[in-house]
Amino acid sequence: MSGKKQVRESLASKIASSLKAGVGEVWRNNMGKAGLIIIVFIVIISIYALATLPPGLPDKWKNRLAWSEYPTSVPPEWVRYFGVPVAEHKIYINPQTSYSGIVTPQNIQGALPYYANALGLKQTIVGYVQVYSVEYRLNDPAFPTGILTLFTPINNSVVIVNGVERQVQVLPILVVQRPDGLSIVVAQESSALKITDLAFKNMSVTADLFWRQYIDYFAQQGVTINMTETDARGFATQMIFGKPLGGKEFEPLTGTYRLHLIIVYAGAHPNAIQQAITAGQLGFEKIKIVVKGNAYGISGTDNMGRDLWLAILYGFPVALAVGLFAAVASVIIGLVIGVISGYYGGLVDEVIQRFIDVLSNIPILPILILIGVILQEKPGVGPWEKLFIIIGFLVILGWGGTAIIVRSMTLSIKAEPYIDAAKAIGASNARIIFRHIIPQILPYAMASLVFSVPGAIITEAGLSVLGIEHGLPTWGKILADAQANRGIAYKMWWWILPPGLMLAITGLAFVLLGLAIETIVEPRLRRR
Amino acid sequence: MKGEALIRVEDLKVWFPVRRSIVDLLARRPQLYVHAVDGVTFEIYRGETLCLVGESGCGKTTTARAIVRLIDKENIAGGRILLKPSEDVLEEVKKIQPDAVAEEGYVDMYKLKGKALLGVRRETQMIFQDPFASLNPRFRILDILEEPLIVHKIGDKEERLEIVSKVLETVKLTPPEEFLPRFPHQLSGGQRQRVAIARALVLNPKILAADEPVSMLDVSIRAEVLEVLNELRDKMKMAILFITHDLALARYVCDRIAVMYLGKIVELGGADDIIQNPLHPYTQALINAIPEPEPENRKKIRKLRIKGEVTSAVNLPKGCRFRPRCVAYDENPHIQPRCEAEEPGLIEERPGHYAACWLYEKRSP
Ligand SMILES: Nc1ncnc2c1ncn2[C@@H]1O[C@H](COP(=O)(O)OP(=O)(O)OP(=O)(O)O)[C@@H](O)[C@H]1O
Ligand SMILES: [Mg+2]
Repeated sequence: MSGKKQVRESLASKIASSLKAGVGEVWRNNMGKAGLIIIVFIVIISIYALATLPPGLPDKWKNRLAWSEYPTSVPPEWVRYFGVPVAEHKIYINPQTSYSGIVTPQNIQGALPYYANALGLKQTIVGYVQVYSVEYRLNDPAFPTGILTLFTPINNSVVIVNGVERQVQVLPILVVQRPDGLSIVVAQESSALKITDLAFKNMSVTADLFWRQYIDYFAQQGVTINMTETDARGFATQMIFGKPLGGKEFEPLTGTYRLHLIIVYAGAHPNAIQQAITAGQLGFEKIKIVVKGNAYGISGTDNMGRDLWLAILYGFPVALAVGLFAAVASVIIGLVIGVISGYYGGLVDEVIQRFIDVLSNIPILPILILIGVILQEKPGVGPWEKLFIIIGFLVILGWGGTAIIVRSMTLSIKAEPYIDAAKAIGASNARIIFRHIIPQILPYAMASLVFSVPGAIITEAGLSVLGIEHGLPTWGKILADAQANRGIAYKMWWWILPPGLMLAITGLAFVLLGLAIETIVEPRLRRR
Repeated sequence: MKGEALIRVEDLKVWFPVRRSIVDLLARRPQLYVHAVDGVTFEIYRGETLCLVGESGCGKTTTARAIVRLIDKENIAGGRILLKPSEDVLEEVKKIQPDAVAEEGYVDMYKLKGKALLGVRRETQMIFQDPFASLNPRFRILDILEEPLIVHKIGDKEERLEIVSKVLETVKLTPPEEFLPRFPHQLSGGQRQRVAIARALVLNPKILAADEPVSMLDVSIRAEVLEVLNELRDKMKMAILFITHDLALARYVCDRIAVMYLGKIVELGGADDIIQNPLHPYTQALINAIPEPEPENRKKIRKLRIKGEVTSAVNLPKGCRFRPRCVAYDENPHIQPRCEAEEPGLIEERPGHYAACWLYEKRSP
């Protein structure tokens, strides 16, 4: 008896073994192997992306202000390995204080010599002073693209002196001490501020502060710089990190730069301020100094400074979701309707076929553009919802092809004598459809599913480029932005190539897999 | 013939509409039909094998399919098929669907529906011509044989395995364990046809339609399959409709033979009677075409007792449908007006031996 029992397989083990056999067959096919490897990679990257990307990325992507710390329109960092000089992008968080104490006109030379001798200083410093200093090494002859200072003050701006509350005010000044010994005041608030107001300020460099003195200084050295104030504004970082060659020419000055962020406190007696700072009641939770490089990350940035790598990463799970969802849904619908149409025939068949005729003659693009416009107007719809509405329409308008093929396959299977045999037994229509017909069609359905994945992904990307946007940072969205800024984007290969390549590779992977499955289910196509 | 008829086919007509083109529709041409079965009447008794012989396209398969209700209702152009199910099935039908019960314990096959039909289907099974196509290639033999039991909710897993194994033994596929896990493509043609027979037997049917069950098989394995069928008829007292176009085979297998031409039975009688004394000119032509066993006689060129080509089943001639091919028509001028005017019915020329030919018209008293 036990011998007979082994004959029986459970449904689960049947499915598992046929799946295993299927994957094995695909693996033995070269195209299938290549496709599978790429798809496994895509899946791994997608999982990695979902696990590591911040959940707020879609919102951040739309927010211009969120990207101010990033250099704009710079290529990826690895271009240095192809001989492109790269000024490193550096972020300094909570740098060391190199000085804190009371500065007077008498001791300033000793305490802050780089300030006392800097080009562009507006006033001499008196009061309690803290200096945060960092070093920046410029190894390659390349210009960094900016310096930005960001503050997170402790939420308090008063000190109590002899029982009287006093507002503390601060004046932040950034001095760059160059490798050639020259110091320049590159950034400074125009007047002292309440310390808590610094939370809302990003301090960036401006040539307004130093340009005249800079020109004079180099004129004495025999280099004539021809620049107006407005000219100078566009050359701030070149002037800071460069050696003037005359005219408007600069060459990068390599070496070690020291950046000194000087915070001058005023509004109360320096001793009282010092006490409050030492007690931790006044000052900063966090200070961040960013030297923007001329290259960034794995994939560079776009014209808004957005890190393209994040969107490339984000694009993986979205592409998979779009492709698989659209393909699975339209193939399932096509399979069910095709089988019903072919199996029941007659009026049902006629109605379904005419409906498909109508459906496949509806122009998809205008409808999707219409839907896109309607969605854009609707405020309450989230980006994922928009995406799935778009996919939904792709599915609704896209199942017809599968249904037609499945119908014709059903017609030929239905004519097989074993279907008659099943009917003679008394098997129900449901049983015949699910046990006899669908298992025959399933491999073809798998192939057509795999084949329709790239179509869906590329259509979604295409819609983004056409301006039908859901707002998620995807490959299509990157391309859409590049398209919108085509004037500058055509010089920025890192903006256009990677998303394009990702689309192509993903599409290729599924096509390879589809071809492999097709040769397996249809051995006549088998190549040697 | 003695005993009770398990199945009675009464003036059965199966017509298939000819598909019309748009042009036909626009021109309002009338709907044409293929008269696949065009007024067939016969009975099969318990424990009897009736052979249906005739050339290709004469409607043999259609008749068999009609009996097991594989023909759509809308293609039944007339007549009825009555079936005598076992007592319990009959009781069930009486309860669920009394309107499908005909006289004397018969049920009307084409009035049945739903559960009542399912019950009656246990009593009628069919073996198909092509053992290569009648088994689902994705099913193991166990799945194939178990399916009828699952559909009819018979037994639990263990019991079903028991039944299936026993049936495999009946068709001499032993040991069953060796065949159960195999797929059809792992069997020989003869073994497959025996699996198909086993599937038909699993439900213990009373009526079996076997559509050329051995025509696709090697001559060497025909005998064993036929042996199995003969044994079944005798042991299980089944009524078997055996379809073949081979008269020699029919004589070996059948009790009675019905000869079919273009959707009509033209001669019906005992197997030996028909072979030795064919009445209808068409039967005579068929028997004439059987190869002679004696090598000497084989060399003699025999005169073919038939002319022309098979007439279309769409546009039937007026009068006797065999007339365009009939040699007797040419040879017997006196009956010609009859042949041209009217279709002959079955005429009992000898007891139990009928022919549909005006040659045997009884001179009216
Ligand atoms: N489903 C159908 N639709 C339309 N015509 C059909 C259908 N089934 C059978 N026919 C036609 O009915 C006629 C009889 O067919 P049937 O299959 O019964 O012949 P047969 O006697 O079994 O022939 P063979 O010996 O070749 O198997 C043929 O002309 C055939 O084309
Ligand atoms: Mg046939």
